[in-house]
Amino acid sequence: MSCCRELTHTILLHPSYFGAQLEDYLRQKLYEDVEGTCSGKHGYIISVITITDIGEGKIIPSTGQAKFKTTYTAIVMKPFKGEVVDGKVVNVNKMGFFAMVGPLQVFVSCHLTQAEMKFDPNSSPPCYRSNDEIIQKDTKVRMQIVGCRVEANDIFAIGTIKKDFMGQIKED
Amino acid sequence: MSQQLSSDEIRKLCANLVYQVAYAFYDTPYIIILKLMVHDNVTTELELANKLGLTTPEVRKYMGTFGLHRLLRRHVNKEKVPIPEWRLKQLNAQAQAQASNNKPGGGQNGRERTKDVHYWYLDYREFADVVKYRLAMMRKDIDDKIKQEVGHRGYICPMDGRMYDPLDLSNVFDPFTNSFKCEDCSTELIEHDPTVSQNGVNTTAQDAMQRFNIATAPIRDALKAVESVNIPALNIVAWIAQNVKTSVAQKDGQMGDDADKRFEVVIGQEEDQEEKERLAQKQREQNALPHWYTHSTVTGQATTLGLADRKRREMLEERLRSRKVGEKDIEDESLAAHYEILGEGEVDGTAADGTEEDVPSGREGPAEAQAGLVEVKTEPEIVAGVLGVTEDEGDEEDDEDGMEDVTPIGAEAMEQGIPESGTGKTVMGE
Repeated sequence: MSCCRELTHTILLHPSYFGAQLEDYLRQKLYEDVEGTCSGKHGYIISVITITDIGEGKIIPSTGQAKFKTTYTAIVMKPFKGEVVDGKVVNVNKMGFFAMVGPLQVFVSCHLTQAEMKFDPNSSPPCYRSNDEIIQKDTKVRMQIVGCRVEANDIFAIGTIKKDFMGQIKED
Repeated sequence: MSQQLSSDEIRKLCANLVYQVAYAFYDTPYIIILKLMVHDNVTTELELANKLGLTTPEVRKYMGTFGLHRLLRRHVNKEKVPIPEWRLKQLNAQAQAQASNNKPGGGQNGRERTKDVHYWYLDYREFADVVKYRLAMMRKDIDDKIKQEVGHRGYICPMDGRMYDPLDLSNVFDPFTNSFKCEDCSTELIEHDPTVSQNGVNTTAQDAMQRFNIATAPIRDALKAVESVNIPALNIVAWIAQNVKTSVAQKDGQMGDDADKRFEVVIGQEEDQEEKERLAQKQREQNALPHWYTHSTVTGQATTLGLADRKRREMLEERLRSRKVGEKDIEDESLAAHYEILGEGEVDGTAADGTEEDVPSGREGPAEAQAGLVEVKTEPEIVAGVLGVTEDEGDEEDDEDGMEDVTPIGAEAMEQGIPESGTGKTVMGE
């Protein structure tokens, strides 16, 4: 699920950046530091929308670096069990296929596909094929997340397409 | 003819269902009990115990299980049963030990005692419903188990047997070979299904459903057969009324409490009738013919319709009046009888004193028995007290009675006392 959240981030700035461009440096640093990261608490931080408060710089006596506590609003994305997501297939093997939902990697086991869907190793690229569906690399699929594994800086999910209205998304 | 046949068939179908369930789910004693229940339909615990050669508590234990499973239903009926001889002897011995003179009346009642008799019976409709529900729940359980185990399906390394959860797969994916590799030995992982044992034979949940379906097929068939037919319901209360002779209600009817019972019933009816009459009166008023029907609007004379109406109303009123008078008579009679009984009771009570036998018997004379009741209580005081004091009391009639009855006794006592003393004196004198 994606949503906006107010978050804080502490930036340490080297004294060489202290100058007229300080604010620009700070912004750039914030974007670099947080965008695309993942935390177990908030999920993926997709993009910073606004910086609410850049904070007051405090010089740390020993190193001379300035410490800024910035507050910003960002779009975060955290998967939940039972959530239905759309993704793009990136890899197909005989055990199942991987799909990316934005930054999130989802694995769909071949047991969690429709019973009539069979792995076809001879086609190029390899795919899962049923009467009216083909799932191969770059196919858009809709799946339901059945389990999530949240690590310190990554999230991995397994999904299923063994339900109504799941599977390949056909674009007309 | 066909009706007879079909009901017979229904019974057979129901019995079949019970047998199937019994043999599928229960141990031998339970099977035997269920078979007996099918045969007898309604039975008491005692009867069942006799048939099975068990004690009643043992039977109750088995039946309790059925009751808990809601396959059999219980009905508790209060019945009078004769007390066995040995118990009666014990009781008599106790009664004698107590040596109270009020007991003989109770002794007759004591030959029988009220007891809760537990009837067990088969309600086929409920039986079928319960079985259906339990089968559905079992199926649901197995289904849940299967679903759960599918979720636990993972991967295993064929070399060192290390297991991997589906959620661990992201770490073991090898993009070069496009497969999953064991973290320790880099062997390609294979699927591991906990429901499938090593030799590829389904062990538990997968075929549990299959086995369940096969095992319960006869029961389901029996259920289906019963489903379509109209199962006769058993009304246990009606059954007991028909087949049991010793229920409390009947015994009560035979015993001496008749008068009391009738008395109560009369009161109930009376109230009922009053209510009815009130309602009828209301309706009559509502339905009364309007004035312009009963009387001519031109001449003001009563029309034929009006005359007929008046006649009818008069008849009704008369009937009502006569009924009320009749009721009053009955009431008076029963009241008088009631007071008479009370009066007799008083006689017995005072008779114990012995010396005053004449006094209460003389008291029976007055029509108002209740007044007599009050007087009798005061009697001992009067007798015990000084005679002269009672003379001054207000009520003339009572006083006269008192004088008449009491004085002779006093005179006798005086006479008896005087001669004795007299003789004593004379002896002394002599």
